[in-house]
Amino acid sequence: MNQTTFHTEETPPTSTNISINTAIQNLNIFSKVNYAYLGVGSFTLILGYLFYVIFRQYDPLFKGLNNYSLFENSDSLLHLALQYSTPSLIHVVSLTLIHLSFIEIKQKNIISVATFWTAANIFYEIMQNSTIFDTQIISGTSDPVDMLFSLIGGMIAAAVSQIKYLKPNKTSSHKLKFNKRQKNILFSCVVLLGTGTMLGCDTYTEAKPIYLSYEELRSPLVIDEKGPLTLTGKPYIKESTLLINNRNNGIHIFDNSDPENPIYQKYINIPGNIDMEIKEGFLYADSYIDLLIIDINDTDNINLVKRHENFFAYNTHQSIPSEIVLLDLDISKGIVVDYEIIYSEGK
Amino acid sequence: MKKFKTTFLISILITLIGCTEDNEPTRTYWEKDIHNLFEINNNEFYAIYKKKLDIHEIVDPENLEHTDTQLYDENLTSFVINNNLIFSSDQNNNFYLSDITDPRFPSNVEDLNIYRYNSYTLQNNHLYTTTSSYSDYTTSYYLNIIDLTVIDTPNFRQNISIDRPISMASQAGNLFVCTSIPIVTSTNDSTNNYTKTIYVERLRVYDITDSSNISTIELDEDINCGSLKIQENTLIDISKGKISQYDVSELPPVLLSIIDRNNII
Repeated sequence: MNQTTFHTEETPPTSTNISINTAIQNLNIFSKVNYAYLGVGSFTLILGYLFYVIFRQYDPLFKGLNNYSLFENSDSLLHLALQYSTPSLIHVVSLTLIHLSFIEIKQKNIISVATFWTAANIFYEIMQNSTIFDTQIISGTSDPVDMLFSLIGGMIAAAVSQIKYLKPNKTSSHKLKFNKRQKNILFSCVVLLGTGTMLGCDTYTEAKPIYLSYEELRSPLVIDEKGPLTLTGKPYIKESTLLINNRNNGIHIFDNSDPENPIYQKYINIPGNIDMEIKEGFLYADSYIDLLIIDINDTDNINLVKRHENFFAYNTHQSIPSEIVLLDLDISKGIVVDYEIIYSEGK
Repeated sequence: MKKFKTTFLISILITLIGCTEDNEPTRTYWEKDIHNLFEINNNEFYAIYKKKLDIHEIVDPENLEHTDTQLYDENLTSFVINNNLIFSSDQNNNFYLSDITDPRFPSNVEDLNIYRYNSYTLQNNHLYTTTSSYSDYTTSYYLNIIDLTVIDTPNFRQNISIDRPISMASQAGNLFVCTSIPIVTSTNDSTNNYTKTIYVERLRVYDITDSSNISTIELDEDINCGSLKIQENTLIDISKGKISQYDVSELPPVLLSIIDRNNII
């Protein structure tokens, strides 16, 4: 011990010594933290995380392996709000309390910090709004209910902060005096924690399916002179016939005898069409779950020869992106051709 | 106060950067399964049904007779038929090869153990596949050449590093691969230098006359591409809402025609 002291006194202070001393000094901030606020705030934050893990289909931990709903099969707006916006509320409460644990507890600071985290969450929601900005700055859906719950969270946080058991005893010697460097470190940590927990990197969307009834699917074949202005599918060529599939909608037929001058012939409306084949002048085309055999030997007289019903397996996501989570799916109502977003969660 | 502001802005920036999607083009969802849902070979109709491959005999167009034959128990997602061989892959991108010389008694020739394939084509008894592998948070893509001359003993001939493949087609001694190429652009303003990576799809042509020595054929001009199909010296490319046809009897490819929205109206 003496040797160390002697050595320290003998060695002139270097920049490394100064940095170490500063770091040790900065570590002393932990002796000044209000652990009651930090504990309650951290516990609330963990609760919020657990809420995600249990009630979100694409939670950050299990990536959708769980599938619990807070309110099963409920369309109640209040239930939906509680299911989807509670994390915003919890986030503001927890971050406010954690932030307050590092600063002096007085009315002015409580109001300021609660307002700051409420504003931060609302700012995050606004950044998700693609109608305000040309593009969506943060992925996800800007939800006014989330903003409302953030506001309620700020009020709850301010109210909780008034609980006398949390507040430090005025007669105690607990003094929260940090130097500027310590304040910067603490503020950085809290902001990083706050923004980091706001911005998960997973997205998912829950939606109600929109159906095409089996009756509509199996209505008579419609042939048009010209098709819609899209070329979204795959090409197929057989001898002099070129087919171009308009994904999930139909097939363009071209006479490709001269590849330098393909001639447009007809457009066959086929809902749910992906693939096609030609054999001996007959077009084999899928229409969602059905297989159609269409005589195209004479393009002026195209007709449906046979519909093989239920030939293919039902694919719930043939017409919609695979990441869409469909709620209340009922395939007896028809084929899923579109969706109505109920909830979308972004990064 | 200045430091507070700086710290806050840096924190926001770090988290936003961490969660911003990379600039690699997001494929539209239907492009993932551009492969066949069904295919006709001789008098048989092959179709994926509930992740298995069903075989039907075409008695006549109105009468498809199920042969009670199903190929594979795996979760098939795509397949292609060539010379009485079926090349198929499952949802884990594992790759299978079956002989359907007798469609009622198909035989699983060989599990080629090709994982994470992207696309494949067959030419002169050689299978060309593209695969990917992850390491150090980056994805590498390869063109694999497998000699199937002796079908029971596939022989890996070569493995070439390529850009991210989109699709491919082959004819005679040429292999056409549509690849996605990163192009880094930078812009400057008075204080900062910004870089951005964009991806463009470009046609690459390989000379596959000698399967053990594949070489790149340089094209005079860049050709945009997407999904490729080939028939009798005509290369058909569908990309960004237009269909282009090229004469590839000789290289470089000669543009024959473009079908776009204006041709359809």
